[in-house]
Amino acid sequence: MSPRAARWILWLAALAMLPLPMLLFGAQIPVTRYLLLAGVSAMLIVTEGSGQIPILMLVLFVAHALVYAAVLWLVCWFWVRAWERYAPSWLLPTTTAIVLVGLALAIGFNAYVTPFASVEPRASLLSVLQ
Amino acid sequence: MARISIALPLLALIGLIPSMLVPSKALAIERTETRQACAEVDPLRRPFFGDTHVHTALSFDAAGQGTRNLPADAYRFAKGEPLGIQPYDSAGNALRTIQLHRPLDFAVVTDHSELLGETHACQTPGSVGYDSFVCIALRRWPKLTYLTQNGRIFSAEVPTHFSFCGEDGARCREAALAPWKLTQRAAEDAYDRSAACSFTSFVGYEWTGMPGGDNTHRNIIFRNERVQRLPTNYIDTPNDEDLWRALERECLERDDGCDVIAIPHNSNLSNGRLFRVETSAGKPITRAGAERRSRLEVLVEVIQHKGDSECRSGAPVNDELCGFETLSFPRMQDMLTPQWAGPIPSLVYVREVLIEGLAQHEKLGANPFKLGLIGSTDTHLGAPGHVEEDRFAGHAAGPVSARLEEPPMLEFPSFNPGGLAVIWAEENSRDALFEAMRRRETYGTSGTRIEVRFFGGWDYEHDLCGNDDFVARGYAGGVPMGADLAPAMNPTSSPAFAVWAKRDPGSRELAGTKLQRVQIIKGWLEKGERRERVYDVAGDAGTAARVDLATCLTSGAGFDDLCGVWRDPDFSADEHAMYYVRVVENPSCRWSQYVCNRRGVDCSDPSTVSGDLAACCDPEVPKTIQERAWTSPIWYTPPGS
Repeated sequence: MSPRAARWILWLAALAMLPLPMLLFGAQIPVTRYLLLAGVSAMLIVTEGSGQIPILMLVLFVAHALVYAAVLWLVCWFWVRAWERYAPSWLLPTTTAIVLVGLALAIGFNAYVTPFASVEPRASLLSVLQ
Repeated sequence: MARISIALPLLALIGLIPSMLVPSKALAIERTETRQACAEVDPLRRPFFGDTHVHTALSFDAAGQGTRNLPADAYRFAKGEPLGIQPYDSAGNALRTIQLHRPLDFAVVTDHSELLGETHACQTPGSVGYDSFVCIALRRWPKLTYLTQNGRIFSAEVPTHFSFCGEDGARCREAALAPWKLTQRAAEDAYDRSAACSFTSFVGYEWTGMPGGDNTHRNIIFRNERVQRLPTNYIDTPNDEDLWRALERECLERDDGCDVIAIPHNSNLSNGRLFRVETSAGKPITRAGAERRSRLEVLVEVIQHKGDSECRSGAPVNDELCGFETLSFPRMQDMLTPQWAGPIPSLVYVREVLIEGLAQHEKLGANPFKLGLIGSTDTHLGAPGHVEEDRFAGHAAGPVSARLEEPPMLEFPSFNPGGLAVIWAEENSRDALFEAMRRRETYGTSGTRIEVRFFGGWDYEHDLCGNDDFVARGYAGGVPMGADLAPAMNPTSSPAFAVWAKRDPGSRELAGTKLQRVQIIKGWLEKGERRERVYDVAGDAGTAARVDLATCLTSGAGFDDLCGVWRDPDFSADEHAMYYVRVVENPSCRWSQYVCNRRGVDCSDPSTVSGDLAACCDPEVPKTIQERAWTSPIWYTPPGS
């Protein structure tokens, strides 16, 4: 696996799975969920019209998604670079292990806090994107 | 035997004296509905405790907060039955249950008229708009949709219906018919038309104008079952003058006994826009405008769960009791970032509004702000009268939500359980209660059930307090709370005020708290200047009563009842004035302290203070309060005004 591929895989996995806290509302959700909420907010603005609060909500979600995506990219970049420099042969197994363990935890546990959901306050990966 | 035969009629005559002293008007309730006569009628009037501000799942925001209770559930709760509230499990069972210590005598469900049709349509398969994106979003992401759409519509200067309502909103106005009928049906079913007169309901709604985030809300309450075809809403009728016109056109001017009042509330969050002295077009109000307003707006909600609106802390009068349950920001949307909020402008607190009313009366010849006082909850759980500090479960109307799980701190720390409306009426019927509201013979409490009488006249003597005929003589010698003082017979005399208060006896589960003191607050004009002063009339501010914060038990001296006759020492017959009473209890635990105790918070042990429970150790969040009651004012108008 090339470092570039490892970086992308780790980053996409983190975007999809890592629970990240939200200001004001106490949520802990992955970046993909932030994007989903941003998409719903944008659709509501398009269909129903704009306003101070809809715009603020959209900005809140988009800002979280952008900041977290950037931070995660940097973390992945440094992580891969470190493995590449000190133990290049371990890059593939560690990347695979991180993604698989993360996936198992995200599916097996209600790792996400989802105050914007319709039913449950906590969710696993299988329901956090609904 | 002869002595007895003489004595009996004499005694009977003596017994009649109190009722003879009662003004004949007291017994003349205008009947506008068909019902059995009440078995219990008290010509000297009794206090009826209730709540005139209640939301259920028919309100868009309440539904967004997970409330599922409907108006019929709210009335059952008011009558003392248990009520399931959110969160709900996947089978739809409520995970929390609340119940009143003491049932209410009356209640009014006042769901928001805005989005009434939209909320119903989004929840009713097959209805118009059910498959629209906003309805799908409301069902899939209820909190997000509630936050964005509630804010977008209720706080807009030019609000609009949901897009599926059509360009003129007609589809959603029609959709509002079903929930409006349901509201009326629930009120009718809950109303006790038997001779027992055990419970009264009114049909009502809330007009929820909040232009630019400035609260201008009014609760609309109908006298009887004859009501508007559809509630007036802020989207179609976006200013208060048009609301009053609609109420006149669609109710008062009808010839079938329709009667209605409007109750403004939360002036504390109005940014000065609820009680303006200009029209919506920016012109000064006229005498006709003032008269129209005072005909419809006879009461104001002085307290509810989003804060107390009585008076401003600090200048111009250093009234230390003004800091009670007061919010520190001028608009609802400043709640999460109060540090960025602007200053609190004038005409925000009821006391300054009442005094401004005197100034307007002098200027226009009519007082636009002739307001009696009540309290209510503004519950969004469908839980009228849910005011008990020890078992407060939140009201689901702010940033704190129990929609999915019970939060550690059950409500936004600055909010409170709200208050009660108390009406002095002869009987518990719609006509009697409504007439009492119209004549402003009402008072508000912060949730406690203090009883308070307040009379104003010219000839009350100090021995009135020890007299068994206090009430009868109070009515006979003057006017009760909410009325105008009669002109003085002697131009150099000062008005006298008789006040009597009795502590809340409490319930089986929670003892009431003793009274600390009774005050009369006077507002007046002095050469055009707005003035106010607080007078202690009875009781003792230094009773050294204590509260054990760990157990919330109270101890120390206090009063079971207090009485005083007070004559205004600074009266000027040439100046407008108004007087109202504030009765204050000894300190007791605030709702948040009960929560902190139940959660085992120990501020010296950081491991017990997590997340929202940090409020338990925040010095800005009071641990105790002094529950209280505020009466409607008695007004004095100089001769010739």
